[in-house]
Amino acid sequence: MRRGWSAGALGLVLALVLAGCVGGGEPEQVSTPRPGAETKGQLTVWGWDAAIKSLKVVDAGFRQAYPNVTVKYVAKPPADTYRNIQLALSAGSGAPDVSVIEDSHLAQFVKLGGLADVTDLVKPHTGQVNAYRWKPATKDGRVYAMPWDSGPVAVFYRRDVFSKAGIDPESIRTWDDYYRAAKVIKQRTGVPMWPQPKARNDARLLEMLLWQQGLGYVDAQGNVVLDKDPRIQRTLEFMGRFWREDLSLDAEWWQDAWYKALGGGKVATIPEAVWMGTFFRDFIDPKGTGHWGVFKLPVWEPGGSQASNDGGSTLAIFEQSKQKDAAWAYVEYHLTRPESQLQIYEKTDIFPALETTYQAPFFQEPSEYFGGQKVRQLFVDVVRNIPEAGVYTSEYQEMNALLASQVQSFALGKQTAQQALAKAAAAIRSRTSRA
Amino acid sequence: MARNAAEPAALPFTRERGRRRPWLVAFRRYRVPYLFILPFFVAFAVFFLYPIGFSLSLSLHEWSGSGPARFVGLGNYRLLLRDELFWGSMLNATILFLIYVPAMTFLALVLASLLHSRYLRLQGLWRALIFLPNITSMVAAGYVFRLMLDTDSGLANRLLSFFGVSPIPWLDDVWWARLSLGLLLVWAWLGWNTVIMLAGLQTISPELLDAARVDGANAAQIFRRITVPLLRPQILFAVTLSIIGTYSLFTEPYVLTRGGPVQATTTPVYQVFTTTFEYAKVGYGAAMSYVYFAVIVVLTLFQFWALSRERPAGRGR
Amino acid sequence: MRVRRATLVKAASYLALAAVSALMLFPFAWMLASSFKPFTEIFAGRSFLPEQPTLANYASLFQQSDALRKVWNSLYIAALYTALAVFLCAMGGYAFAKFRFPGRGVLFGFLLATMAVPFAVVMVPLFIMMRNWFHWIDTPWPLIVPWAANAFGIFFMRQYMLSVPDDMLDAARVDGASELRIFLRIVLPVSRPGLASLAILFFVLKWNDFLWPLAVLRSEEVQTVPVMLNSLQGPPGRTAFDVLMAGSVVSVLPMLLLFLLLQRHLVVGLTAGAVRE
Repeated sequence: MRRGWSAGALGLVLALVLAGCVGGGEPEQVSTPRPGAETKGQLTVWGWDAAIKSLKVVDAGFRQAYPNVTVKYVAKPPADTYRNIQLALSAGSGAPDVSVIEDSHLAQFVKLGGLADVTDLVKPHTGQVNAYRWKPATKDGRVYAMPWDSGPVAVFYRRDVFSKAGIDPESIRTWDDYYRAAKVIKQRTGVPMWPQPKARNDARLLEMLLWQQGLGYVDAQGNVVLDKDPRIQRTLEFMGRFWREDLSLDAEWWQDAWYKALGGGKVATIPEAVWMGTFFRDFIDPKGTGHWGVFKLPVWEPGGSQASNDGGSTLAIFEQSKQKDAAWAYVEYHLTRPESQLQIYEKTDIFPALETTYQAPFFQEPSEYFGGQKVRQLFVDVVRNIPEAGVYTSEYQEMNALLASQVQSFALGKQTAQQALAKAAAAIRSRTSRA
Repeated sequence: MARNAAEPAALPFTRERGRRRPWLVAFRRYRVPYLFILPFFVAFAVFFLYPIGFSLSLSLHEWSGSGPARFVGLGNYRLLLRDELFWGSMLNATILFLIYVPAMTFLALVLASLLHSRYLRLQGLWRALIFLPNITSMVAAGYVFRLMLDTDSGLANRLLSFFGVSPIPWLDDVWWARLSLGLLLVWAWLGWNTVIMLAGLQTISPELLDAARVDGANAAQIFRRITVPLLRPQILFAVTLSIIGTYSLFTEPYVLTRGGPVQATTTPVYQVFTTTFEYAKVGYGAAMSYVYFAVIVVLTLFQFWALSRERPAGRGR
Repeated sequence: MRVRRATLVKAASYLALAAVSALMLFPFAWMLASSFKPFTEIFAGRSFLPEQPTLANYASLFQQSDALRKVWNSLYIAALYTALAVFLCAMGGYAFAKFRFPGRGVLFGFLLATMAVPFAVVMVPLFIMMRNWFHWIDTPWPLIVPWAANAFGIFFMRQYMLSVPDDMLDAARVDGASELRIFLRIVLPVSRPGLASLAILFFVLKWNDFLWPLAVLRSEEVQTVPVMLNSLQGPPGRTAFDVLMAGSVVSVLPMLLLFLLLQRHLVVGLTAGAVRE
């Protein structure tokens, strides 16, 4: 009886799915079109305000190269963009031609299916892009997106707070040094070292610190390691010290109190990716030239890595697109040409994943906003050394939510780090059917 | 009556002695009421009955919304039994209910009593004002409350600071967040509950109350000994609707606290929503919704049963 | 002595009612005041009234978010739904109230029972149906059709129509009028107060509907006001509270006007249709 029920139910579901699916079959063969009038199309590109603003920087040149391709941008907040992509992919219709997709969400969509296979198209560029970027875009050896910008992480610090406390950033080599500096800074200036909320923590700093050690939610085989690797517990406990000893600013990120603190020098440092520097300059502290400096991540052990990642986005073409030629022309023009990526970087400070741009003299120039420091070169050094880590998995959203909830509980003092990680690991295992 | 072979076979719609089909006859005769109620039953069958069955089928599969679905039998339900997050959300709904419903129901009773007084002027105005919050979009109300209850710059803490009270983490602490959500819900639903109580009060015969007053009872005694017991059906109705409403909450926790902190204000429907639309786990989400459905059905049946038993004496008409 | 106590009680009652009303009104007032404040002032919280009143929030709302279109969407969807739903529920309520037909008891009981079905259970399959079968995503139909004839409305109208005098209907029947005519020409006009209050209820519910429109209305052009409120953009991650307050006022204002105009009906209608076992 159960057999019959299952076959009938499955049949019903399949029928519905098939009824709803549009397209499918062999993907078209797409090749890089030559610039010119032959490539035609009206493209729809999805993204959020900041990303689209950056893409538009190159549009003038793109229009010249492909005069018969027009582009319509649809800007929505990231959460909405992702939900709409989700719907379009599972509905089999309604997808755009191209969309901006962050690495954190890419693997989920690659797994869901519906992104165009661009393996052959990106082949000439595989060696030109930061190596670790291909993992979330790849499934079974095929690639489904083109990396755009990367998120190498370093520590932004307030120069005035450091000098008032008498701390030399060069002296901070290890995370223990960092912790000691935090105590001194707190004592001498009253300013907390980093902004990590308790009840509203999003676990992203923890992810960054783990990534630095090549760790994440899962290991290379895809098994959950949160409660297995002792380094993870040590990292979380390290963060715990800052909460317990009042060395952390308890403000929710991206809310008003947080903006005020960062803008007003009420936080000593913030370990974050290169794009945070852009945000400082653009709207957090636009008049703060010279306020901030940058130093590389402290190491966990002597000789350890100083590189980590937070963020990074790509452009992906959708299988449903009927103008894949024009879509690839768009992606190719905007992302694979060093000139384009450089232009985007220069105008909107989005850090390219395309390593061929790094030779440009622009990267050698001192950064006025950061007090004349050669910040760009610093991030180039970092990005070349980012390890592979199991953070951006195909269930990243869910894993992050489950971990964040436990981190919040730990930060509020309701449980130990070990308990937090054990609970998170158990929940993740059961909900994502992993080992 | 003998039948001729040459006669045409009886048509089903003609009424022929000895050949009646009662249900067709009935349908013909009562076609007007049947037709009038048909839209509801058709719509219900298509948009609710079928989906309920479909949901059950979905809950037995693993499906991401596209591509093949994998039959897993009761696997989703087994996972669900151990899902702390889901049962946590059920517990949250229960806790939330205990926080605000008794207070709100009591307030509604008191307010209704006040509004019911004969000497009260501007009754319409008071009723309208108290009912006003109910017409607001909960999205808008949620954001307003979020602003007002902001720990650092919200109005609530600023007012408190005038009285020397240190800032309260309205939305940042597990229990305060639940309380804040409760406050929002009381604000939104007090008027509605008051109206229900008021309707009930209007069915109590004034003679009963007069008799009590003559006997020397004061307002509080009348309230406690007569009004409240007589209003048992209304109270039960309101409370049960509140229970169901609390378990079905989505918008308010979504906007006010995003289910946090530490998932303290997440609700079952919120879980179904994120599981289905954000994590793309359609089968699992369907299983969740089925368990939640079962809980609601039990509660609703309880309400009907309890209500049908109540027949208190002394109710005027 | 008695008189003094009575006055005291009276005064206390008025005071209590005034206090509650003030609390109910306060968030609205604050919403309105904040909608005219620039972003920084909203969080500075120095004064209730804006120090530097500005229309920038409204400008941003109508320009960037095309709020006018969303208001129109909300309006026509709510109006269309209300008209259809009130009509169908009146029909159903009339049938249950004024006709005796086989199975009436059972069918009505079944109708009541359907009120126990929570939306979350059917949400996902309904969504899939809307998407795959009807292709109604990004159209107003998913918001209208499934609830056009709904149990609550029929229950409500039945309660109300029980009090429609039978002799009027019988007289019309004797005169040879068709049932449809009787319904349209006699029953509906007589039930106007009940219809009006149901209409208000439906309109408000549909206007404020959030979860389902969030799921089925994807593209900008067709969204309703609550969905728009939810996706107002500011700088990355930053909730645009300033524009949000303006948006909230816009979402509340039409309802407020409607309510103040018709509130008499609503409260009367609710008390008539409320449970009276």
